[in-house]
Amino acid sequence: MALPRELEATFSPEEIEFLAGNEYIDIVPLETMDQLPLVSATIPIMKPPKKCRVPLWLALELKRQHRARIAPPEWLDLSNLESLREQEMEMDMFSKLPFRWLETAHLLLNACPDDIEDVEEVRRILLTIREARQSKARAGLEAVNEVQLALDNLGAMEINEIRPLFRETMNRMRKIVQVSEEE
Amino acid sequence: MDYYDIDGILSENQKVPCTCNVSIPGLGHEGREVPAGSKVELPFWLAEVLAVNSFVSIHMPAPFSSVVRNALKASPTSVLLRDICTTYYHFAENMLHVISDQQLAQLSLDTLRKRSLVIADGALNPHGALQQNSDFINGLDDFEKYLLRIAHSTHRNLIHWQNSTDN
Repeated sequence: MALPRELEATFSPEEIEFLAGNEYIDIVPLETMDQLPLVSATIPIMKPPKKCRVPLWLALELKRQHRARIAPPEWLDLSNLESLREQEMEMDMFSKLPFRWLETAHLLLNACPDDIEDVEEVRRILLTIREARQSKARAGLEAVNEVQLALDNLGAMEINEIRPLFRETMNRMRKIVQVSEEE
Repeated sequence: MDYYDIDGILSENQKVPCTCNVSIPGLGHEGREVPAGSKVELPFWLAEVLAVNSFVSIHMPAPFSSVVRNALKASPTSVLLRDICTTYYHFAENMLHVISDQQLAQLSLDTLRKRSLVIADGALNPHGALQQNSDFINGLDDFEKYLLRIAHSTHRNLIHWQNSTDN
């Protein structure tokens, strides 16, 4: 299929965000809702104020219709993020964040800032963490060889961001090595 | 699949110095015969075919001379690769098909690794990089320019998405 050159190399951020919509999250329904038989799972009857576990895309839609409030996931709270930030600053390795942390945080901060405590502070800390990881990823490029590059704990969006550069460089290196080992 | 690759075709156009082992008709100016033992500069695609049948011997071309190699070993990021060869890495790959030279392979890998770091930095802010580092950016070969472009456009898409507040 003929894609524009930029999309040949990697996913667009919107696509990654879309994939993150499938992760489960807790909501607090504001009204009673019937059972929802969907393709992948059946959403049970939702009765306030009992918490319910639904896919993120459904949670966002219900929030938009003012039928539910979203309970932020455990990792998205202030004290946890602060300790993650400390870890990120001290270690050379990447700290352990959920695989889809960047896009999930982005979706939640846009859709339900009122459901998150200390939203502005959370936003700021996430930005700091993201910048620290970004500079670590760029430093990690030094270790690239034609076989592998190990960057553990990198998030989906972060991988997507560096994929083109790493992939093309590695490909080119692999071709040179392959040719020189042929003789 | 690499046969139709435009960058590959362009890189094969690079001239290499050769010595004719036999006299070759039709190769000279206006189709004259080229006598055995004479030195000619042939495009790589022609030189490779002739060398396979031992009609010519290929010598190390200028982009891989020891002067250039030493410069690359000393400081890969300050060499103007474009002036040496516009398709340096592809050409190195082509040459390594016919000449076995482990040192050249290793040197190309190290050069690419070091330069890709600077390119990654430049991709975050091409305008600034162009002002600060314009010699380097102008001295990138075709492959490195492609790296810069895709790295920058990925980064730009990400920033665009991050600043969007749809929903």
